[in-house]
Amino acid sequence: MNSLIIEGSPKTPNINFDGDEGSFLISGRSIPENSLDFYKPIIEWLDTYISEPKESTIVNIRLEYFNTSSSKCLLDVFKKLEVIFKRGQKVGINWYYEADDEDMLEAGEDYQSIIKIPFTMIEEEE
Amino acid sequence: MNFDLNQWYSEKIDEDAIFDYMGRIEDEDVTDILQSIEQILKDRNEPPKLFKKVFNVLVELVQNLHHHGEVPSDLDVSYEKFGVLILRDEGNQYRICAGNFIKIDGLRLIRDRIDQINTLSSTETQSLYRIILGNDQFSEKGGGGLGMVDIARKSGNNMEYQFFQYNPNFLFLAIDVII
Repeated sequence: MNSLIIEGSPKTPNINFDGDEGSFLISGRSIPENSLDFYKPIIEWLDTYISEPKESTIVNIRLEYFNTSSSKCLLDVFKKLEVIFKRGQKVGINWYYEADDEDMLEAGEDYQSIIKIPFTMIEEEE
Repeated sequence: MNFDLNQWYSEKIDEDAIFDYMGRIEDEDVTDILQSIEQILKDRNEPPKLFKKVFNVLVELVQNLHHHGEVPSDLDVSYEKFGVLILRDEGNQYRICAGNFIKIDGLRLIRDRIDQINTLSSTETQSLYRIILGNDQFSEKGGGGLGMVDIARKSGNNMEYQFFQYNPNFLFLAIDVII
């Protein structure tokens, strides 16, 4: 399985999805005006991945900011992975937030309340 | 008497205003505005928590302008997205004022939306956010109706708003968010 790598910009995140390792990273900022355009290839890549996933898939989310337009797209990413989790594959989401950034912690908890995949909230020093 | 945009704008720009913008809100303008404000906040050495809150709310407000900022024909400009953004440091709080034109038939929807959100407690705002996030609905702009709820949630304060009659077809909507 190929990897998906998209370099970040001032408004879009770094994407590093390693299909061979089942290790996915979204980091930086996700504040584009039209998130649907940005996330479309990511969702398409995931469609292929979930047809033949690794035994274990770990998603690391290290976002500094994301806008509400991106929040729905992130949910779509998690929903794709929830499909393989429900099939019995091991999937985990590590949600990183800076110490004192309660908004980012709460954002992770929002997803945790909707998605069945286990979340690990990881506080990092600023 | 009809609303005088330039007069309204000039009255807003006093010594508390640390950033102000009136004009086109295309993609590249959104980028420029956010970069300018980020630099201003960095230079002021605000604590990261406050910095992030202000910046997050600004992102939503500016992108609201980008998606919804209409241009009345008598504004006589060559672009299609127009908005006003002012960031004020009022000593113990920041006030962000975002203004844009809307068609008169959009008044009720926006007013009801803000009024509804303003009545909610912080727990209710969080619940509403989660309901909208999980409901599989996308607006055509991609936001899914989360923007206003997110602004209320992050600011922790009611949104203040005013509508001004601009001409027979358009109103000017000014929203203030305090952080």
